[in-house]
Amino acid sequence: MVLKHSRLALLGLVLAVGVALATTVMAATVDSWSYSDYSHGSYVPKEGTGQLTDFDDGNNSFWLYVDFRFDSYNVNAIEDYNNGGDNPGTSCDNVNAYLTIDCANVPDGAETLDAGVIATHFGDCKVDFEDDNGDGYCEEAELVVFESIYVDAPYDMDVLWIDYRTGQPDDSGQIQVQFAMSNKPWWSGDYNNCVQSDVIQSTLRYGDYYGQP
Amino acid sequence: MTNRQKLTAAFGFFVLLVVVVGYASATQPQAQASTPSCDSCGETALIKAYMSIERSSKGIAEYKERIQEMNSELIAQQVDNVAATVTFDQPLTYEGVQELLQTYGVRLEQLQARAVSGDRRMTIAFNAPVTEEMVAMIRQHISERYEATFVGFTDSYVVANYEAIGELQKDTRVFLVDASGDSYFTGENDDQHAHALTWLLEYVREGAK
Repeated sequence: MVLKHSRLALLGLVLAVGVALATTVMAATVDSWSYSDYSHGSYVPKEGTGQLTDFDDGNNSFWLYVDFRFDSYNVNAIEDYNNGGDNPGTSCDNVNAYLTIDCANVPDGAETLDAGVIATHFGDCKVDFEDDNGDGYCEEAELVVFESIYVDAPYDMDVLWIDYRTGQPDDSGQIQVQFAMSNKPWWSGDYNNCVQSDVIQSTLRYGDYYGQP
Repeated sequence: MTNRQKLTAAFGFFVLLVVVVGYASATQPQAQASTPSCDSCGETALIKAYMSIERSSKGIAEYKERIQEMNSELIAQQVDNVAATVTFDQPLTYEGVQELLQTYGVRLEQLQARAVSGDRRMTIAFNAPVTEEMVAMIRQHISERYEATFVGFTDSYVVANYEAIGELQKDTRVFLVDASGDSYFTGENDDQHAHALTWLLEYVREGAK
């Protein structure tokens, strides 16, 4: 009887560890956000998901998928920013500001991911790859939207990261996804968003080793 | 030294002082003017120019004419290493883009493509270098993830010399070569690229919303 209980306990323990490990693995590659209000920005979708895919050996790369929908409150706020004048908040008044999504690689050590491709369903939008520190790798993929946004339509920003890591101890890092409103001259790296969310919407860790997102 | 000589020397010193101070104050405003002010944080001529294009054939034609006049200035001044945005007249294949750019010795920095999934359009941007294998992989990706069909390449960011700017804008495969983001015109330290006219062209030609 005691032995039977021990086996049951062991089985339970194994199951619990398995579930915990699976959850940990999921948390390493998926990071969703869910807000109860608009305190992180009237233009920020209240819910969304960031995800890093498995590494693609053949193409030496992996994808970041960011998926979200805007509600009517978001769309009204974004249109208000687009029109200029007295914009929501105090940071962007009297300028025409546009929805901006920044996906930035923040490595723990040397920078060895290069933003290679951006794909999106947004309408008229300007897409840029930025290498601000001039090391030859683009650490930022940016999208600025000039066209109307539809309420409750699925929107996305996919970024393909070309992986040049070789498995050094500091090759880990994270991809950060953040919403903002931008009135920056798109040719100027010095001036950027006139207001950005006070939090990162999605943070996706990747590990040290080559081939591991 | 006589009093007269002293007076002359003092007057000469005074004149010299006036000249030096005058020169210094005359040059000071120029130094300040070249420093970017926070006006750059706001709307700029370039973003205004794009957003104020009338969404009609006439509006696009007027913008095109204005940009081509700017190109004429670049060519007259023989400006090299010009950052330009090339909007293609019709979507091109990968081979078509390569042939066009190689013909005029243009360096590619970024390439945009159009795809369609259902009734929605997708924009796909490739950071150079863009290989045929990469394009094939992306076509497969958008097909599997979005059931999207790749239409073709619509516009590009390039760096070109003034001769190439002139030749490109005469090529029938090109709708517009827009160098308004180059530092020659913006006065900024870094060259950037103007927004392409692809979306506006689709709107006017196809009635695409």
